[in-house]
Parts: sequence; C-alpha cells; structure tokens
Amino acid sequence: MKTEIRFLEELEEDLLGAASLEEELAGIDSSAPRPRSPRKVVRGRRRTVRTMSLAAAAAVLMAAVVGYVATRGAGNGTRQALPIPSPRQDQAANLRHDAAIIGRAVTDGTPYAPTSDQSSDTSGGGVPLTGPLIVKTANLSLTVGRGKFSTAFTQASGVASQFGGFVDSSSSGGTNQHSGQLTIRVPADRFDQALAALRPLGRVDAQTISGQDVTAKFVDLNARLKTWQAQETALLKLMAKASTVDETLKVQSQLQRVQLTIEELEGQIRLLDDQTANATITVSLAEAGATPSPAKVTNPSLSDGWRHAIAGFFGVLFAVVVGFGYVVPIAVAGLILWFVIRWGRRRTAAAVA
Amino acid sequence: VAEGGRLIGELDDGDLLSLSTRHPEAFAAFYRRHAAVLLAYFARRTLDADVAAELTAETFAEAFASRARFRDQGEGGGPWLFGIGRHQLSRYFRRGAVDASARRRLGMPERSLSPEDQERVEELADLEPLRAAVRSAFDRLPKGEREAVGARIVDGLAYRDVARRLRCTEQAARARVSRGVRRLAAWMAPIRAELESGERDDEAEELPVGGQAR
Repeated sequence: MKTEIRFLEELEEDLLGAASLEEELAGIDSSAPRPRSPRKVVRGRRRTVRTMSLAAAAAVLMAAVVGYVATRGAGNGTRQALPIPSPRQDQAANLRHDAAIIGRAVTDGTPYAPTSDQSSDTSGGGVPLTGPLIVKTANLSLTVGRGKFSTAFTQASGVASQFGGFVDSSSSGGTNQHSGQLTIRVPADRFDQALAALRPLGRVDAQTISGQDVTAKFVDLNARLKTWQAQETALLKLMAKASTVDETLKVQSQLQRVQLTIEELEGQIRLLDDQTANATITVSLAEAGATPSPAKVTNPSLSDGWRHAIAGFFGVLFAVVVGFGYVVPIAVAGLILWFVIRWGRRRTAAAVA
Repeated sequence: VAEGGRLIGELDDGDLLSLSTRHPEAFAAFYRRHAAVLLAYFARRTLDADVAAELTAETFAEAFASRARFRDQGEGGGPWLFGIGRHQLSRYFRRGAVDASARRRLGMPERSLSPEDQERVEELADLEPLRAAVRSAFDRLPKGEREAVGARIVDGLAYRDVARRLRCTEQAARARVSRGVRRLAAWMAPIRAELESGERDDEAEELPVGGQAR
C-alpha cells in the first residue's frame, strides 16, 4: 500500500525554507565549517544593530568625557575652560578690540607693508604665496590674593613690554575687592611665552586659547587688490589720453571709486596682518572674592541665553571632537587585538575539530 | 542538479550531506530517503504517531543544523541520522517531552499530524499489531501490577496518587509498577528483537524519493 504523509511533505518544505533562509541570510560559504541557523542570524543581526548603536552612543559619551577632561584638566593644576566665554567679558573684549582696530585703521596712514616673511612673499607680482596665517587670541581669568591686585596688574602690564608687545586697553575697579581687565598684544611668535609668564600671577580660574586661520581670507583680499590695482592703472592711462573735460570727469569718477576700494582692501589686509603679527591676550584679574569685572548687564536677557546655548552646543561638540582624538586610536588598537584573539581562537577550534 | 556528472539522486548519503553545506537542496534528497523510515522507527518505539512525527521533525532539524559536522567514516549518513534520532528518543523517554530547540533555532514551525496522517503513520509503522501485542501483554499482567502500571504509565499519575488509588503505601505502588514493567518488557522482548532487526534493515534500505513509503 502506498502511503503519502502530508506531514512529511510539510516538514520537507520547512527544511527547505530553513535552508533558503540560511542561504539568504548567511550565504552558503563552503569555507565556513558550521552554518549558522537563520534565526540565530536574524537575532544576531538585531543584536549587532543594538550593540552597534549602544557602542556608538558609548563612544560619543566617552569621547565627550575624555574631551572635557582633556580640555579642562590640563596639567599643573591649571584649569582650561571650554571656549564658553562669559557674554559680558566677550562683549567687552570685542568692543575694545573693534575700537582698537578702528583706531589703528584711521590713524595708521603708513602704506601697507607686510611685516611677516610669510605675508610679504609675493612672487612675480601675483597673489602672495602665504603660509598659514593664524589670528591667536587667549582669555585668561586669574584670581590673586588679597592686597596683591595692584602688583599683579602692574606685572601683567609688564609682561606685554617684556615680550615686545603693548597694552591695548586696561580697566580696573572696586574699592574693597579689586578687579580689572587688560588686553595686551604681543608678537605672535611670543604668544606662548607671554601666556606662560602671565599664568603665575595668580590662580588660573579659566583659560581659553583659540587660533583662527585667516590664510584664505588673506589670499582672497590680495587677489582682489591686484585686480582693482590693474583697473586703476588702466584708468590712469585713460585719464592721460582724455582729451575733453567730459571724458576726464568720467574717468576721474571711476578712478575715485576704484581707489576707494583699493584703500578699503589695503585697510583690511593691514588689519589681518596686524592680527596675525600680534596675538591678543585678555587677562581678567580679580582679588579673591571679587567679581571679575563690573557688571554691565544686570538682568539676564534672552539673547545672552541664546549665546550661552550656542556656545554650550559648540563647546560640547568641541569636547566630543577632541575626545575622539584620544578614543579613536585606542579603539582601533583594541579592535585589532580583538580580531587577532578571535582569529587565534578560531584556529584553535578548527584544529581541535 | 548535477555534481561531478552525477545526478543528486545517484549520490550516496555521505556525498549528499557534504554537498548540502553548499547546496541545501541536497539535504532535501537525503531527507526524502530517510524521512518515512525514521518516522516509522519512532512510531514503533513510542507507539504514538504524534510524538513520532515530532521526533522526526526535531531529528531532521538537528541533522540539518549539524550537517557540516558530519564526517563520513564509512558507515554513511543513515546511521548518523539514526544516531541523532536515538539521542532524541532517549531524551524524550527521560523528559517525557520532545525537544524542539533545533526547530526553534532554524525558525521551523512545530506542526502536528492531521487525523488522516495519523492513520497513515500507524499503517506505515504497522502499529496496530504491535499495540495489540502490548495490550494483550498488559491484560495478562496480575491485577495489582496491571492497575499500578495503568495508573502510573497509562494515566500518568504521580506515585503518591497511584498509592492512593491502589490503597497502598507509595513504596508498594513503586514496587508493583516496577514489577509490572519488568514483566511486560520480558514478554515483549521477542517482539522488540524482531522490531530492531526490522529497523536495522530499514536503516540500510534506501526508500524511493518523494516522501513515500510502502
């Protein structure tokens, strides 16, 4: 009697289903000695995605912590704050800086003459071939002991002249507990030395150092200047050829406009050159217990909050990026080690099998 | 599918299992060769078509999952498969339930037999004469042992409940069940020997492809 059992046919289909699922998910790898079950593969993939997500989150968190520690906990007990400037200090510093720039731009009548070798390298009359031009700035908050404010303030001013720089602006106040700020400018190549000389004047509460690369801007300004100068030359030639008063007036009008632009560009280049040649250090000095500087803004404003939020956002981003600098090489080394160990174990297992 | 110029149906069990790691359809051919024999084997051992079907499914799932570990050492794929089957069977006897871990790992559903299939499995395994023999042997047991074996094995009661039903101590109930089972085993020994020789023949025999058996 011929017997057909539906169950066996269904079982065969189930097995083929498992086989095709295995083939689909894991692939048929003749070199793999042990095929993984499809459900394990699915579960494994889900677990892998979950593990990867957790690992990524952990890596970012770790990077943030490491970055925070690295940027805040520099050696010698110095606390280096994340670049989250106090709005008051920031505003004041910006105002003073702008005033200084405008003052110099107005009073400095000398023709533009680049001071550094990098910026003066103009080969063949084209766009200057510059190395990296960096505008260096630092903010340093120091707390000095009672009765030592004046000495420290004078010493801080002295640091500027000691390193071939000058005091850009200074202000101090307070009757019982003194506090004050001074902005000093020192040659960029002596920036680190000046900072090192300023730090011992008191206890460093916060320190922010930043460097802005303005090379591209410098090159762009120079290129534009060359173009306008070429126009000026052409217009001067036209002027010489002008035979009527009308023609002369028209060319002169054009020429004035071009010369104005040239002066503006030269002013900007001078400004950049000055900023890169001299670094700016803003020192906030306060006696223990005193507020660092007189409060100009008494009520918290929404814009201040917004500025804080933006600064905080970039501060955290900065810390994460710095942290990745530390974490990534360690993680790569760990991964390599893990692969080597796994490879070794597989070899041992294969040998045993 | 041809492999080395031969059709899959022409390959032996060892070749099929080796091939199945790269071509899973080769395992289907291996399955068709042994499925019905294995099902009949389990049915005769358990006298329960449903359990036999479950054991068959689990054995093949386990065989599929571990096919890459098969090493042909001369005895072929049939004995290897029946080795897995015997292991599953002993686990079933120990635990009273069929393991489903291999099927779960492979994502295979746990199917049950339809009434028609049940009949076919019983026909396939020739269960009715076997059941009749067991029933007859059971009826021949002394009354006390018959009741004890019936309460413990057929009704699945705990020894405490068996003792309560038989109005005796638990120790006495255990002794009666033990004696009854030993007596049954002794009476069934010739039939069992006959079955085992038949199974050995079945293991050696190659069934026609198509999940069918005569």
